[in-house]
Amino acid sequence: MTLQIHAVTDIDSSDLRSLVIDQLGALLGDGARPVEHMPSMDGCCLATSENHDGPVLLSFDAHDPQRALLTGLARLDQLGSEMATLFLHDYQPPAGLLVLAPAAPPGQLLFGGSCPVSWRRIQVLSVNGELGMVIDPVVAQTAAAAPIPMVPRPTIVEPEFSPEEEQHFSQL
Amino acid sequence: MRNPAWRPAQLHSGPLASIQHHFIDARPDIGNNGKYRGKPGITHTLPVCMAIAPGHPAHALQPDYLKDALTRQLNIPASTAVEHGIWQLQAIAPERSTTHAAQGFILVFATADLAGVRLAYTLIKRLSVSSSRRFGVLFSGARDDERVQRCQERLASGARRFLGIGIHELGHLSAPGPEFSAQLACLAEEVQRLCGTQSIHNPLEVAHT
Repeated sequence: MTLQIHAVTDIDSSDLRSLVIDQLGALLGDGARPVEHMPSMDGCCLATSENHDGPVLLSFDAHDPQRALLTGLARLDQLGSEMATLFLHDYQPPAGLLVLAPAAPPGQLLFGGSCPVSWRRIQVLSVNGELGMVIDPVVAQTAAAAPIPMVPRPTIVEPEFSPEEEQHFSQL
Repeated sequence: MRNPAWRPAQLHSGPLASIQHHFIDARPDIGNNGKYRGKPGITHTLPVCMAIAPGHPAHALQPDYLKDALTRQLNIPASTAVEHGIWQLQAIAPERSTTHAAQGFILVFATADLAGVRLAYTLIKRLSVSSSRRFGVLFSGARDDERVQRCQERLASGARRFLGIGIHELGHLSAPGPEFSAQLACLAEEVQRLCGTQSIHNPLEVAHT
């Protein structure tokens, strides 16, 4: 049997969404599944997995990596807005953004190591008329954002003590 | 589902229906926890002054955490209050000697060491010149009760002697642990009493922080 494989250049957004959701396990790890009861987001979906502390926003585009990135960033803003907190009980914003596109989105050098943004190469194929998606293995994983240590800033005030005050506050 | 944050929308249809008018005419009133707090009554602004010494221990209560936790605790509806109101904590910048809100009671949060006591005194001295002369001091970061006692006494005696001010001693609040919620509830109750509000907290009702 001969396999008829060719790259798909024109895929409907809903079909790409279905492919991404089918491959959530390969993208996010064991137990990955879409977050339920979320309004439909064009070009994005929110998913959880056992490998991530919180939901991960996946932003995908079969052609344009820049659009995939910008759509994901815009959706992150919306999901972090005050309005989102009204709709979602005990709201927890997405823990990261995963951009799925046929090429690296712009800004990877800037994002790498400083933001929880990563990218995986995908390619949509048609195999004997059936749509499929190839996910490239991770070559160079961008580092996850290191948590910012919560060290308080010390209060900087010049003491204005008289000699008597200085003596009083020289020891406990 | 692993993440309990995402629950069926049906659970929220009631609250959403009750606040839908806010979507049209006004910005909804969102609390620190991101939840709508209902129609506001009186707004209580509590000025907070931070006297954080460079050696503030990492295991001690951190100022941002205190601010968030105390705000949540103060905004728990009191069981006996007729009108609870909304509490806001307003940080006072050290370089600013007076603010509009700093005319009443001021909470001072200080590191429990000599540097923290000196900082707290300096800030109280500066604030007392042109604004409030009512201060409550809360320490954190002490190794033991004796250290807390010495910090309180040194600061209180200095303020009384040099400034003629009686400091309200609010004690010590440790980092979040088994007793933190109860201590926070007591602190909130004491702060409300010192601020002159009538609402009474149920000591058993504490914020989950």
